Amino acid sequence: MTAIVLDSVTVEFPLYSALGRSAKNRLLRLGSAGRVAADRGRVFVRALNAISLDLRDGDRVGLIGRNGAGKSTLLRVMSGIYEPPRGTIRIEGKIAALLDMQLGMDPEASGYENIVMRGLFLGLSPQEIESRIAEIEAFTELGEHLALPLRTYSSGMSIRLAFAISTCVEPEILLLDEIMAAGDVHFMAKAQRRLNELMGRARILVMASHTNDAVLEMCNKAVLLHEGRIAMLGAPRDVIDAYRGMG
Amino acid sequence: MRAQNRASGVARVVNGNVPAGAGQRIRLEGFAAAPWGAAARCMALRDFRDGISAWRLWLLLARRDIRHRYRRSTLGPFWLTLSVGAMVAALGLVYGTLLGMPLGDYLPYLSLGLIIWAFIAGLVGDGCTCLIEADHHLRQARLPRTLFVFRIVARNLVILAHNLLIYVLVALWFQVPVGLWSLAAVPALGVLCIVGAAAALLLGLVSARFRDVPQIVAMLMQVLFFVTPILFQPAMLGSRAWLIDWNPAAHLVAIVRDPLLGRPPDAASWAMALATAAIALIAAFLMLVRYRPRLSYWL
Repeated sequence: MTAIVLDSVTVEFPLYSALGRSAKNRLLRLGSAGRVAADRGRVFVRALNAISLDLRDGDRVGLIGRNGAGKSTLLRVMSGIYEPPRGTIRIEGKIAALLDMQLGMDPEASGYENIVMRGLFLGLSPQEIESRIAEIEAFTELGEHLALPLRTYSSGMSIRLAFAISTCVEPEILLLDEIMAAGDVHFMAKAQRRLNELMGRARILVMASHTNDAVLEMCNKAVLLHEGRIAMLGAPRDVIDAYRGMG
Repeated sequence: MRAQNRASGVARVVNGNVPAGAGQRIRLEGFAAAPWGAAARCMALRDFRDGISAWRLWLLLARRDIRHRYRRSTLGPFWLTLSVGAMVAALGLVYGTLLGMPLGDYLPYLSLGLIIWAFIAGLVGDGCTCLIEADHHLRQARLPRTLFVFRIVARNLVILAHNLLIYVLVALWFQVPVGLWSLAAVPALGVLCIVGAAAALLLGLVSARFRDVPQIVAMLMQVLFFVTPILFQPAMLGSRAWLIDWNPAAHLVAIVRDPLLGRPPDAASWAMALATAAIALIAAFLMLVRYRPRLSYWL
């Protein structure tokens, strides 16, 4: 049984800046979507506020909301990177989070070394990594560049590699954050195809997106986040309409 | 066994790897309510276990760290050997003369002391930054914190192995009476690794929160170097020898150094070293229980 169950999860980021107070003022002036609260002299940014969600097998959820509404934070909570200070979360199933794919890539190591390193971080065994190398070679079309250090790659090339490695997993739960890789048109189409296959195989999909089309196409549910709260949960079409109505 | 684990809700652990995608089943309870609760202690132990089982990853990371530091240099990590060698030669001549010790006694003592000190200082220094450095890994996926501690222990063991070459040369040259006693250096090194790992975990967590700590620690380590018997012998302090009785670093150095110099291990030093290890382990575990979940918010 695959599931992600959140029960009134609240996440606050402490602000430890040397100029805590003025940072707080600055944030308030910016009109950040997250709530800024002060408690016993400490300043917090409340990124998520009492989020309860029950996701089961077959759920394909689009997270919608403005910048700073808490979409990325919610994905990081679901992947277990941020453990909630308050509330509980239960995750059942093998999880993969494609958040910032280029994190953890080593510019000094060769393409192949990066495949092994990132593969181990993704929880693959050496045998599994070995068996995926041919596929990654074919997908990235990097050829002998894979034997060279990553710092010699163009940004498009390193994105191709990062994308190929990150998507070589077979998760039951897939978490995606705004994956819009830069790259040429040919690669974009290929990447989209690969991503769609991956999303199709996952039992639960949660994706944060600015592009409403992707949510309409891939999801059967949508969550509208506003200032760290769930403002609306429903069919993608309705939620997107409500989001547009927010202006 | 593994099937049982899975049924009882324990994260799946693949040999040598990070538990696949953060495990099959996981339950995270708000850590603010019960920071010392059973759940928090259980998660700390699990972090430790997952860290160990990811041995393949930290060995690879450690090897890569070393290679990067000496990338494209001809001597590679043997620059370390060379720099310790230069240090031993220079300090040996000056301080050997100052202290009026024959070189045949002083150089083996000094070189071994410097090498062990470099290992301890390396563990402490790298320990301060081990979690800060790993922020891009820790923000990308759910990973055990101890993985990055074991990485720096492995890294410093590799460096130690390179530096020990100097002592081998010195010991051969001055015909140090290496015997059966010398094997006691192996468990002693194990104790050093445990203390180092515990210190790295402790300092790594504190440094992630208070970014001034690495600087403060670097300063203190420099002071500690001069009050620890490395350049001088404990006996030279005469009636003030008690000054080093309460210096844990002195005992940690001694339990490794003495056997390799052909001296029998000293029971008092071993007792102090083991006590240090026990205290460091308990302190590190408590830190892990309390601040493991908070670390993500500090990076």
